[in-house]
Amino acid sequence: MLMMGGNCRRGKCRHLALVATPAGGGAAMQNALMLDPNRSDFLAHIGEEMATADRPDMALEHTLETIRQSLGAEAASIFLFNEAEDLLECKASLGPNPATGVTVPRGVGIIGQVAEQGRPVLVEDVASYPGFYRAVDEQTGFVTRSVVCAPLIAQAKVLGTVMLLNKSGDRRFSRQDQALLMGYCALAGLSINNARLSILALERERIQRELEIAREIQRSMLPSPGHGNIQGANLAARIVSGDFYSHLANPDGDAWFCLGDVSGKGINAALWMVRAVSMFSCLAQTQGSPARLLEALNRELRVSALRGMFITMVVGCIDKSGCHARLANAGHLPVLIWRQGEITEIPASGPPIGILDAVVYDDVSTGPGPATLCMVSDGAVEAIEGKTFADLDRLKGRITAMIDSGQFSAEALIAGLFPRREAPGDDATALTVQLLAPPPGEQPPAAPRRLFSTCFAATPGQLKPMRDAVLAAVQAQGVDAELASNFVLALNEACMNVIQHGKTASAITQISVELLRQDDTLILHVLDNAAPVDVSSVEPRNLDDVRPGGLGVHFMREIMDQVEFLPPPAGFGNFLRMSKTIRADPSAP
Amino acid sequence: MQCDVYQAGDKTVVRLSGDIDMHASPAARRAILQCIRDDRPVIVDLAAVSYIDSSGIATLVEGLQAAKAKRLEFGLFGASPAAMRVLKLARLDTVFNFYPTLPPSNA
Repeated sequence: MLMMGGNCRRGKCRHLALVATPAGGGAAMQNALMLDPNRSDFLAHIGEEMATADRPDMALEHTLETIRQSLGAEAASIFLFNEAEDLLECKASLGPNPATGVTVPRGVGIIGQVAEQGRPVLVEDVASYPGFYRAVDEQTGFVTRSVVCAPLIAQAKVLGTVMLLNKSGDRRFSRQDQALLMGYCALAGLSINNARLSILALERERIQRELEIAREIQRSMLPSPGHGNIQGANLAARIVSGDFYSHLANPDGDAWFCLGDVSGKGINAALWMVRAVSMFSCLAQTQGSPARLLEALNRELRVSALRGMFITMVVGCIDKSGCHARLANAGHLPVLIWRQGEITEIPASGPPIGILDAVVYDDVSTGPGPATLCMVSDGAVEAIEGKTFADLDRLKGRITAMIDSGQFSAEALIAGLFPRREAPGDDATALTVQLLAPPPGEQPPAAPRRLFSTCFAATPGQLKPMRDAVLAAVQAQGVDAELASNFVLALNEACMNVIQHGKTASAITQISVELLRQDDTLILHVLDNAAPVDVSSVEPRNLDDVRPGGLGVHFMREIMDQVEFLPPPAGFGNFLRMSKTIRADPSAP
Repeated sequence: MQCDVYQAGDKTVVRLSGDIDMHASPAARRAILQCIRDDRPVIVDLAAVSYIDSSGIATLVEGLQAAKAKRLEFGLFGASPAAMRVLKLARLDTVFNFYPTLPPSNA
């Protein structure tokens, strides 16, 4: 307990009394000492030095010099705990043989003992003191005769020690010197602690500044809230957000949009969000459908997923008419579709991104406009539905009311949920899409429907089971037997080419086959991870030249209506698309 | 795929059955070319072939060419609808000699 006595006016102590309680009551307060006015000025000076110094190491040295001069020591050192290495390290040293950088194990020698026990030690003659740690003298070349050492304590924690060596004038340190040193150490300990807290505060301020910059960068990646028929709004729970939305227009007139929610919050989530948004922008240029985009994104992010991290995400594509959209939902809350006063839902067709390998998602058509699509993250839903939001009833009611009053937009929805712009418990995001009414009489194109998909190693032995499975899937569409057999033959030839081409690859080539149906067209996607082929070299040969080989491409072109190589999605080397308009077998059930 | 070789009169019959695809064609090729190396005229029986792809067709074309080079007879018998469809697709249905019957086995 520190008791201050004498005349103390507005921090300028003319007389300072340090009164120590009995042993165990605090190392710095275990002796009573009355200081004369000059010495109390010293104490004020130490505090000021530590508080205002730009360089803590210099402040330590100035403080040590003040103490050394005051007590008339030949040499003086400050040792502070190095917590990482569990030892004491000399941070400032004065005298003929400075010990700066010297380390002392915890509990060893006078320094280690004082630091361990939090009590001062006075050794009038080290020659007769067995606990003296001579290694420091051996390292520095200094000859120690007399020692006084006291702990530096702040907030009941020993920070280190101050040790004075050899009283000048061939004298020995006294009990009074020890008590005075204790007084100096008490204030120096507090000052060192304050300096450390100040450094921590500066570090926090620096991190805060960097987070602010991160937020600016992240927000610059989100599109402007209002953009044609797609609008988004985001309110972050912390400085940076794990939610995101994006949209872009392709040169062919399609418009793509997405809304995602990275698991967790803070920097980890924000960094993953940035990656997901960047990849969305790239993949939207090459993928044929929202489901394929999600699958490609899953393949990429699955590889780099940190333990337990995942993204729930909705991806959509509006055709160039602006009247129809296709959606795929990876583990996200249902997409709400408002149409003529009724709200329907498009639920998730697969798990979130980044959890499982080789995930397959389905495209779902929204149906024609006029309609309003609304996607939200769970932070927005929690704000209105509470923690249990199984049916989204309140959210639907709010959307309906806002649309009825002509006030609906993503920004208005989020602003209504958080009217004081208070930070939500979780990142809150909304994305809205307006679909236009199609011209009278227009039939909307159906979304491709996946009938079958498989992935297998590119070896000849894998071909038969693949053929059998695809044949069954094609026949189930009512396709006549001859066309079904030819269809499978074309696919088989495509896979054979991959096997042939992938022979030189060091790793086993994988083939991914997907069978889709769009209206009366069967579509085959054959993807492989072998090196990209020179497409110009894939041409059918002249059949008048009767020789073995070279028939595969001819078969494919002869059987299918369209055979084309497309830019492969991420993770694949080649992407072959073949399609064939089918005629239903009248005898089929 | 199954590949049986037997003697029928002065011809050697190579009877193929099942799927003649990239996995099975190498065995069929070995059997056919071995007969030709032994200077035996060959009839390939395709009656039990359920599937044939371009690798199987290439095997037949290679056999034909090897036989021609040695002035040996080489023909096909009983092409199943599945096999004939692919032969037509390759426009080879007029290139091969099709035997209407098989001579009886010597066994």
